[in-house]
Amino acid sequence: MSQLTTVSDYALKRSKRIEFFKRYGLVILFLAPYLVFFLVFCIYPLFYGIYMSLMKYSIGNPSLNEWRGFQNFFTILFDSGNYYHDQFWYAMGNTVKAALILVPLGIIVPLVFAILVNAKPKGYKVFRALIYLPSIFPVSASGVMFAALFGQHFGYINQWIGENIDWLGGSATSAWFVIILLCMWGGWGGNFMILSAGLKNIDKSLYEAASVDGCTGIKRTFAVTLPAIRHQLILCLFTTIIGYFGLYGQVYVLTNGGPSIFNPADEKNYNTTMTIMWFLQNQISSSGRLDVYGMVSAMGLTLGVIIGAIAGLQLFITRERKSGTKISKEFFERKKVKESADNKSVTVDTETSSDTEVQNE
Amino acid sequence: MKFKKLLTVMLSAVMMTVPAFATVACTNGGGGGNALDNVVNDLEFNEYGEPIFNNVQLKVWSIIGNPDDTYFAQVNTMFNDYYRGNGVTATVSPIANADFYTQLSNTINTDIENAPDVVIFHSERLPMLAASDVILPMDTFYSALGEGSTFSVDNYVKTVMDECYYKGKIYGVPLDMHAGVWYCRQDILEKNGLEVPHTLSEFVEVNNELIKLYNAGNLWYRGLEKTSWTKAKDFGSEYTPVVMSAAGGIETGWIPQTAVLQNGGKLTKANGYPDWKTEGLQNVMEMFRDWQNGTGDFKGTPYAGKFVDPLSSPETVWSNLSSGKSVFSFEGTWWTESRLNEYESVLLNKTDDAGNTYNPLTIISPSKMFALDESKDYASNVYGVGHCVSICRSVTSKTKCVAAALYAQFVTENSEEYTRGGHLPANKSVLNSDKLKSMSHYERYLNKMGNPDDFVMLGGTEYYSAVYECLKNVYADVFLSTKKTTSVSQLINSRYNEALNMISAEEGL
Repeated sequence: MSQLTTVSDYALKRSKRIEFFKRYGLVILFLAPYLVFFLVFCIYPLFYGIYMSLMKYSIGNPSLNEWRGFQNFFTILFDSGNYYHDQFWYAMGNTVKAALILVPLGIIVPLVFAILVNAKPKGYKVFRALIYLPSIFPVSASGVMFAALFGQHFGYINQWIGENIDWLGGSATSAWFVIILLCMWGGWGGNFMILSAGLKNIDKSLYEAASVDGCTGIKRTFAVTLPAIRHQLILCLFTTIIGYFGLYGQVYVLTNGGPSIFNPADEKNYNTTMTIMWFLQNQISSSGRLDVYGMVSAMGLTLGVIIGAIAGLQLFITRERKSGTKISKEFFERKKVKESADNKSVTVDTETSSDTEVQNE
Repeated sequence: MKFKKLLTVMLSAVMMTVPAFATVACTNGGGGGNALDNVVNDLEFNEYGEPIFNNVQLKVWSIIGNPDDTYFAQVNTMFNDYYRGNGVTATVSPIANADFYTQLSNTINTDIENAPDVVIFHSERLPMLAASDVILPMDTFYSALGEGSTFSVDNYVKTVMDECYYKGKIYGVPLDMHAGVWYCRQDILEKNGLEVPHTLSEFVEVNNELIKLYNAGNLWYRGLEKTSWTKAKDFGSEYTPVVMSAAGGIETGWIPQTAVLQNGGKLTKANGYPDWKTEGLQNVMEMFRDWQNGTGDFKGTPYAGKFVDPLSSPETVWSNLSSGKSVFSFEGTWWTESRLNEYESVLLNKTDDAGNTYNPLTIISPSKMFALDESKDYASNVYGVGHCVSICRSVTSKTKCVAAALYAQFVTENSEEYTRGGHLPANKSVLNSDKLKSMSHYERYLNKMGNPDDFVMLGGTEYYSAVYECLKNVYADVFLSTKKTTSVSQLINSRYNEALNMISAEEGL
């Protein structure tokens, strides 16, 4: 059934359409490439992953897939003694321990570098380049370099110190030491750049004011510099936590999850450098099973929720607090807006009344 | 606001539609567990009862890699020469071992146009692929040929053929069987008046003698670089006649398995569960640990801790052998021809002061080399791995399936050239053929790889990874410095329980 449209309706709709494209057309045009990739490579896999996590999912033949509901999640979270549950939480424990060491180091070390370089000592540009240099190497390349350095039999470190230490296979501590070293060396460049940019933008008058008040040296760093770059620090904290929860490449190249140890208490073997990402990847590539994808998806989503919770907690703790002059500032701003609105309405009323008067005349 | 609404609507639509699409995609794929249902019967026969093939092109994915893929390519060329006139040709694409199984599964589900028609892979993975309907049962296609079919399972070595069954149906045709072998510097043994060992006790004795000779400064040796015979103690106190990596895939992949079999054990139970927790395995593993550490029976002997190079790694397997620092190393058979060529080209014609020449390198079958009691029948068992040829689920034409079945039969029945790559043929007619026995490599190395009847396979388990990988780890554990204080029985028990735990978890997926 056709619908009758008046000319004015048509004109109104058309003008609205035109106005919409005028206002948002350019935004859509610029956003479209990213949006397409975001939908295809982020949103689609995310929802497909959720779907897979609720299934016994086989990549061998999807027609053999079976609905599992939340069984995979139940196994991961509560089924103690189950291989997937035990390995998942052991790997998660390793990842959290690594993150607890790596996250503070991954921020403090670049911060120190950034502060030192920001003081612009002689040749600071060379230092700046050298500090960032390791970050341009891919993990595989820098991992091979570290493997050559810390190899037991032919490693340069052992040759230099004249020892025969099995750095990567001798104990969990030494293996983690090398992994953390590689993570630090290859990873500090990113945070260094962010913090350096933050330091450059600090208002110099703050330092002058601090000097006048007698605040110098290390005290000035804590009282002026750090608060001034808090946004950059929060950003670094956020990205570093997420980054190290996904720790994989360094472990894969250096230790491949080892060294394995035997725990006499439960008579089980544990891969001491097995991180959660390494475990998930290993399940897909080396478990020899095609129907493990549902379980691995559930593990991936559980990991995502845990990271999300940690990131949320971190954002909550570091949120902008309504303190100091902020509340009073906001109050006055709101008051100002209200007053100007009131003044406007009074003006309009006055104008209207004068019109009336004219008409009366 | 409207733009926000638009975005919200779009995202909501994505949220709603993606799972729906996924559900549809998943319910449409495959044949509900019976992939044969998807095969269309388009097979036609000529007046002689032979199938008519009209330009059937088979895409073959092969896990056979360097260096033996070149030999298989020759067999494939033979097939093309023979069948091109009948309308069938095949193209082989080697696929890396690490990617093979996931790439295969992904391709047949998401990119069917590029999926293979025929797959050649390790037969111990067959139950996994058959259970997932990645490959098709082949019986139907041989029986479709009626009286024209010449395929018979009796033409194949039984243990290898048994690996190709899943739930009573034939899912693959076995191509070969192979094992890790000892590479032995025969020249060093002969020059020092010693013989190539063929049992474990002989192996131990020969190694003792080598160490004694070296310690006394009386060991003759030479290498690929330093080709003249010397008696100098070039290796200091680090002379070790055996190079055997603790983590190498060949050592872990064959030694513990063969140790189980040669001491009366089995690798799997009838239900596919592991059955390798045996006293024999424990004894052999304890012996290896004592060799390495100079403990147990080897404590206090002049050769304590001198058998196995403590610095052994996959990198030193060949370098120690070529320098003369070691006399024995364990490696895959596919390197045999190239290694023999390498050593013979440099050392075969080199004479000693007396004008004698020596054969520089030979291989020793693992038969009886890990048996504590060499008199037992099972002492000659060898853990074997094989390749097999199967038809992929992506084939939906019966004519193509029959062509693929004929391909599988042809390449296995004409695999003489392929055996140059260090693989014993699984087909009995090839194994006993005069053609094979007259080929130069047969006497040179193939018949030294062991008696085909002694080969025992994993046993057709669906729990391949749990059964096989956990046993591999037992061997690696024995040499790990982090587990020095853990007894071998504890290590075996823990890995066995781990395998059972993995299986239990896999069954609950």
